[in-house]
Amino acid sequence: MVEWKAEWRPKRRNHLYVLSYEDLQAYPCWYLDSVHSIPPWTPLFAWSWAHHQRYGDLWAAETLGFPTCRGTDWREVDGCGYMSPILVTDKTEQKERATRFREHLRPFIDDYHGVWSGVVKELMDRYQRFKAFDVTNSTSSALWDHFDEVFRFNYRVWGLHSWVMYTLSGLYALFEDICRERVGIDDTSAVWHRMIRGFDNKLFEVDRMFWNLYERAVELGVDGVIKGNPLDEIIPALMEDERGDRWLNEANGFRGFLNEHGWRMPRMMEFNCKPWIEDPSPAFSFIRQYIDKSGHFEMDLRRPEIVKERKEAEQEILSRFPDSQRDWIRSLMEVAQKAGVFSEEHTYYFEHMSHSLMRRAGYACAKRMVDKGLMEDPEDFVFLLPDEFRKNIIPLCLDYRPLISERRLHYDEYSKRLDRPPLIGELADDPQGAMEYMAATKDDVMMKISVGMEAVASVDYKADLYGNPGAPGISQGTVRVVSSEEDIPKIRSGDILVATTTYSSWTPVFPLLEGVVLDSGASLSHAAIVGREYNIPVVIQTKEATKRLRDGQRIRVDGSRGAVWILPG
Amino acid sequence: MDLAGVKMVGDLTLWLKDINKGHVPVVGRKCVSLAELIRMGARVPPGFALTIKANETMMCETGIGNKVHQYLEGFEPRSLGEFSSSKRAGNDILQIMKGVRLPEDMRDELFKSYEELCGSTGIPNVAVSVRSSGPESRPGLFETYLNVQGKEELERKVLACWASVFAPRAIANRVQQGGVVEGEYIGVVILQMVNARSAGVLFSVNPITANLNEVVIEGSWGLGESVVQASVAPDRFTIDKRTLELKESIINEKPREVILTSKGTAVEAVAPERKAISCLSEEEIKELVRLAKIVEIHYGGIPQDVEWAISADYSFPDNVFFLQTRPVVGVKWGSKYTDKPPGKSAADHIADLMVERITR
Repeated sequence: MVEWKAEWRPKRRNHLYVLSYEDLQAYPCWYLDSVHSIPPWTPLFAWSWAHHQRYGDLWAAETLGFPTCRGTDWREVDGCGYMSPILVTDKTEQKERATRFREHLRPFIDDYHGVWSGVVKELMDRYQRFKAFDVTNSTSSALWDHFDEVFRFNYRVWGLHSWVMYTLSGLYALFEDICRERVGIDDTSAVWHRMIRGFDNKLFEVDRMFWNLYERAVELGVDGVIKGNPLDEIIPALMEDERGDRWLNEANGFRGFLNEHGWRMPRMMEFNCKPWIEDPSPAFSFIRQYIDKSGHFEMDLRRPEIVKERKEAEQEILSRFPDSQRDWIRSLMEVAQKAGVFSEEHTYYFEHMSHSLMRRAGYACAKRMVDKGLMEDPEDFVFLLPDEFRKNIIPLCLDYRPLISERRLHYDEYSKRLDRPPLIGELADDPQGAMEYMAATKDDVMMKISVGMEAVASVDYKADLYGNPGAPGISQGTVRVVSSEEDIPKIRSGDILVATTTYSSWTPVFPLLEGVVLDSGASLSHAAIVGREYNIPVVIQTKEATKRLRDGQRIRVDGSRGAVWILPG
Repeated sequence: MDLAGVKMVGDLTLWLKDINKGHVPVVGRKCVSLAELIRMGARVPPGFALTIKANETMMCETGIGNKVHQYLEGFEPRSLGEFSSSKRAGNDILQIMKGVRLPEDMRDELFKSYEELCGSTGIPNVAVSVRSSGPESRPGLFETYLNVQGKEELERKVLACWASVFAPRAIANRVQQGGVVEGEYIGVVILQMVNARSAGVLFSVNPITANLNEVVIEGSWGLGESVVQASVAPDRFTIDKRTLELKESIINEKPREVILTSKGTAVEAVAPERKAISCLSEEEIKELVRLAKIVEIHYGGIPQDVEWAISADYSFPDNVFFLQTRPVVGVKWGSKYTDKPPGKSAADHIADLMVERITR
């Protein structure tokens, strides 16, 4: 019997998927998801993760028949996600599952484009319907249905997410493994990085639109208004004159842009941040940063060269395989390349859109309770759980204020606890055993996206900090340590972004950067992918960059060797 | 050849530390790889290069180039691919080149650089090695001279190195490759001689089992010639590339070693008590592997074949020198990933490998 340790035990139990005593006995180890749930989530988001993401992961692994793993189970401990893989150890069962898995793989290899455009269509059609729903003037029954539908659809979103992720990441890892074993190249090699960059994705398309909006602002002469006013007063100031009004409302104008692409949030795995459609401040600060930088859109300048390099890298890799094998190696390489694109752009279609719309539905319900005096602030919707909304949408008589203040106390306490135990359970004192258990899943998603290879320390470059190569190149710049999205507007052209990890909502500042240095990361992490596309050196897995580097320091970053030097002065 | 932005010390010589990746057409592959080794943090003996251009200038200004050209007109080019005629041509050309001296400017510059090397090492008439460095890597094709001391000797050996472009085997090789018979111009690299206590080669992968997670080191007492010429069975170490753990060491009886003498090199008997002991300490092995991993990553993960030496004149870790690195050739890498049989579809094969990978 495994007994509770004080630091493992949740302080409150809001729902079924809060870590319980039975969970401690039944699963050998629970692993903290520090990538997504540090800082800890609000109660509603934690609930949603433990229900929807949990479903999606288990559903996808089981549907696909992933041979060695039924997916990952999830529990909440005071706002943090803990996961545990469900292994399939019986060889006969693995073989049976493998037959199913093999059939599911085929369409991904034969026609990835077809698979992916089907997924995007399903998601976007549904989002269009959700967006068209009038949350303010609808009847309570319609709002209830809307709330239910938007939340229920999040199961499907995560299901599709894991379904594509398991397959693509597996194929990516297979290709890397084949390249390592047969021709001595892996995902720390420069040629590998050149091979997986030079592709368009949805987020870059949005960055490009940002740049167009900036150029249009200059053309209309309203860039001064955007720069000269406090962020929340820019829109009123723009509306004062005809040129500003045009910038906002013309076709391809700012409002149209927000309505189409503003469904993304500074922190995509949360409900408590306003998406741009509600508060365009982050969008304005990106445009301002572009105004400061001016010049050209970096990606346009660099893209042809990067594409050319990618084609050369493809040839270089292919040329190391025997002639007779190049056709299938090329097919596999093409799917592996898609894994990078997917890993980056899926957040646009999955997390950002879905979570923004869930927030909109929850907020609208809360608004009606606030109007009846049953809640103080609609933003408090993050302290309620879905059944509590359902319970009150039509009756509108339950006073949730005491419940919310109790939950807020709990949240205020746990959200300050960032030093959570990385492992809980029987294997907690045996990190190596825990890692081996995880590795037995053969689940490459975790390994490639969040875990990464251990950095090989070397004293040779006389560098001050070592990590792994994330994106190739060498550059110098000024350190800007970013600990949360609030620091993003501080970034200036020529800075080197230093952070624990980066999020897709930060993509628009990449054109300003000279480099990125991360504590964590792997070759398919956000920063590595975007850095490669913008031709910015990225060093990942330094473990301690945010502790060692200070704002204003000058550093040199070598993204091909994974080294960082602090420059004198 | 676009040399814009290329830093030239003189037209004819360049110090290793001033050489970068773009200099392959200027000084040849070996020089550039040595310069890159220095940048990667490996210890390389100090030295400089005579440029490929210097070779061309020498051939023109001394009139040798013309003489060789005229001589070769007497041959049916294809016939030179055969041993007997390439041998005759080679020997005749060596006769043509015999007694030639470097053009005066070049000689001055060579001597000046050599004096600087003597100055910086603090050794008058410092011993150096003289090796070829062509724009293409041609392992073992041209001559190498060890323990060259003094200016006059250095000049002779540089000329001999250039003359080796016309060695019979080099001529035959060019003809077989469809190249120009008259030859190619090559750079020459001049490095301070390492007074090697032990030396050998390192493969950043196991060249025998094709295991990419192992490093194999072979070494023997004295200069690397002992291993390269396979005159003694070397010690052999197999190291786990990830953990740096020594997985296997085979210590052979090493009866002879090549050592430096006042006039060059000599083969000597190894003292009985040293014969059967390891030519490398554990820390030296680890240092070699650590460096080799960096080099391999630098070259995009391409397995490397490194020549190394441990100097008798310094203590660890300053005694660990790299003398050359190049891609491992001629090994078929084994793999658990099988080739696709003819007739099977790409998707089927990939799906099979994927399933095998997971269920293995």
